[in-house]
Amino acid sequence: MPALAKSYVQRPSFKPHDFLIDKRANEVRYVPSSLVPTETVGNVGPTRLDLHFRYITSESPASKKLVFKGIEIEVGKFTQKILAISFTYDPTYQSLLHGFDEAAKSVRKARGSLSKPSIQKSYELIAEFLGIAKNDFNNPKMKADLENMFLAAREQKRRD
Amino acid sequence: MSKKQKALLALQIVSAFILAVLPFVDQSRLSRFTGDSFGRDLFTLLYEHKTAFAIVCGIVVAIVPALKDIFYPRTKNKEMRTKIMDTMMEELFKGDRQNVRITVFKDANLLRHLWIYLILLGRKAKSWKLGWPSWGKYVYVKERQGTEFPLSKTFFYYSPHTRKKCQGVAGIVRQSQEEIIVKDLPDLDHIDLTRLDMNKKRSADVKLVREYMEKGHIRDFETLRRVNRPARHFYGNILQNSEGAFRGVLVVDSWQDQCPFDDESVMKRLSYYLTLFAPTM
Repeated sequence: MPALAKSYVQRPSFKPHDFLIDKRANEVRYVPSSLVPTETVGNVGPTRLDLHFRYITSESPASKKLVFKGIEIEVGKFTQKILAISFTYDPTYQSLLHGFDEAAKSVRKARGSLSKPSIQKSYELIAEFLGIAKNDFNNPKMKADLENMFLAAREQKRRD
Repeated sequence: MSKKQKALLALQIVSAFILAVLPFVDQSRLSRFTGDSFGRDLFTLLYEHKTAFAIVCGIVVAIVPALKDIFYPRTKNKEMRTKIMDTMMEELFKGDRQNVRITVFKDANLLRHLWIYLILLGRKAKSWKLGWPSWGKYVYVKERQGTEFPLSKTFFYYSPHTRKKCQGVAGIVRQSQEEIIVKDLPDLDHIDLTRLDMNKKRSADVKLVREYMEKGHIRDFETLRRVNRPARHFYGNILQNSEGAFRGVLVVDSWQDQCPFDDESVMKRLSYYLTLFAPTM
């Protein structure tokens, strides 16, 4: 019987120009390394996905979460960097993929309310990363595993 | 155990001993001493000021452990920061202490702000200038490795709202919360900044100094004058504590001909070292 949850781990491989904020003849400005996610750990359930972003320096979460159309974004108390993203979906593969697009849109929306270019860029990196994660979930093996998981969840629900 | 710790321990032991002895100091024992002696004088002193000794020794015994709790972690953090900077110097810059300087700037707390404000007031008064110094946020030199000015009292102003008012790379980094590399600044080694007349705008030296100030984010000439040796390349990154709050800035200054921050491996390892500072901030 397929498992009713699946884990997902990804280490984003960004290049120096991905962190670039501004470049002049004598000056280069980057997103500080503490705002760049080094690892993402996800837990994919039949109706909910939780993605946790790890950074080289840890941070306590803020007391309030940002919520955009059912997408919950947990941010850091001091820097406002994104610590986790969670969303719920119907137990179908297409719905899960659509969730990634919505999450990326929400991150871009949240980015608009920030004033510092460094943290804005950090949000852009996360939005980009959500696109990468969506592609990972699109690969045939992952797709088969997930569809089996959704099928098992639906059967379980029917039996209950 | 440092000298201060040894002194505190000795003070605590002496106070505890006096507290233990005080109940036995009374008139009958005092009368047993005959003639003049150091023992009699000491006993008389204890007997006459019994209450004062009890209060002072009690306070010392109670406060010393608290003082240790306050200052011991700070000393440890300082030692750790020094070790991290030492290792950085050796590993990243081949121990070139003559041409590389690593500085940890820390956010000024309320007391430090008051002190800085007093210094600024003093400077204004000295130069017979009217007006109050700008009341804002400051970062100050906490620790420094390399070159000959480890006990620098330098501080830089930063405005939480705009980059334009921030002083130096440290101020800019603290305000913008970014990692910044400023490189290939003009070499000012041959210019005596204390004698330079900035009103001679056509002078080559003045032009060079103006270019340096513009590219190096130095907003006024007085600040540049206070810098003992203006660097050619700067690296600045924000420092956070273990909870993620911004607490200061790491600045590496270099006088080397070739900018050391063009090397990707150096940059990668610098990010790694930044994480080590977090528990000490």
